[in-house]
Amino acid sequence: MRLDQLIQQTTTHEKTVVEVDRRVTLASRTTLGCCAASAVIYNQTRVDEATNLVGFIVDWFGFPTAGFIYTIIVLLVGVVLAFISKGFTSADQQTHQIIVGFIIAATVTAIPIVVATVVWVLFVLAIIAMLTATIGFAVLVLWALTQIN
Amino acid sequence: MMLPLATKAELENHSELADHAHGLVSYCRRSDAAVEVIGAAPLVTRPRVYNPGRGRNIWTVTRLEDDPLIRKGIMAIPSVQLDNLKRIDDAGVEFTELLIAHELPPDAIPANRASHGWRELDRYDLAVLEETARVPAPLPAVRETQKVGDRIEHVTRRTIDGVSQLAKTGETTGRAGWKLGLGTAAGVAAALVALDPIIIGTTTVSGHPNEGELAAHYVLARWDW
Repeated sequence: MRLDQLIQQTTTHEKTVVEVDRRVTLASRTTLGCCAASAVIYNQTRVDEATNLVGFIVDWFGFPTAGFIYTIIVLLVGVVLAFISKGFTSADQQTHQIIVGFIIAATVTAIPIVVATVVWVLFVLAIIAMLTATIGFAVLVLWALTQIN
Repeated sequence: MMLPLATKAELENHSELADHAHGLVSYCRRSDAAVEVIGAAPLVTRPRVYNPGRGRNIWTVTRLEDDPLIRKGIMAIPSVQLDNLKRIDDAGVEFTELLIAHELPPDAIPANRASHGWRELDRYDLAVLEETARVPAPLPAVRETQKVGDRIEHVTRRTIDGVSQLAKTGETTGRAGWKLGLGTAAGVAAALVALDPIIIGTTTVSGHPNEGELAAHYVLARWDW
């Protein structure tokens, strides 16, 4: 075998495909699922007029179409990556870096939903607290009236 | 451990071969290609194994076309060494025969068949080597994937610990993480099983690859996986 034949039949070692860490695989698949769910939610909410704070947050703080397009792009990148890396299980060094970038980008798509959910939960908790306080105050007033009579 | 394939003393005893070898190295140096003379020894064209004994790593030496990694089409060379080989090829240097040596763990060939010193590899040995031959993963990629995995696990653990205050949950996650870490470390160790390949060029006075003819041996590329 000649040297030129060896060079032709050889790949660069750094481009060798390696097994992706199981935790990275799991995180990639989870974020891809979250990204798909986010795309469905944003597609639904972007056509609605936001009338409250939670709706405003889910609408990407007033830019629902831009947020939806961003989510769709990240989702498409994730699907292509999943195909190339056999379900995020094997990748060369460069693809691995793109997978890490995808995890970060896909996490960003879920931020408005998470923030809106937290705000909504806090709002519900505040309502419950106010109702409890109102009922308690009414009971106190009733008790006071009974004491007077 | 060095492979006792050829000696410089043997080369200096044969002036014609020595002159040719030194000329070749100088020519490659002018072409910005690194070639190192090992020395001279009878040319080996049939696959051989060198066992230094005492449980130390063994060496296999074969022609490139007989190498299990090349036969399987999975040979991979680090970019620095590959660039050097391209420069040698571009310089138009012709070698009589190209060999490849692999440092392998002592148990790479079944112990009962491995005698000390040099011996020829038979078909059974070659079949075993071909079956087990593989290119280890590039360490930077392995380390990177491990590092990202550690970060994801760290963030996840912090989140879980923050959301649920249950001590038991934290303990379980910790144990799982420890096991994962051990598994990854074992993977890195496994990647180091194949060691130190050397690509060797040889030249003979006749210019033909005759088994046993005295040949100058050169290191064209060597690296640690």
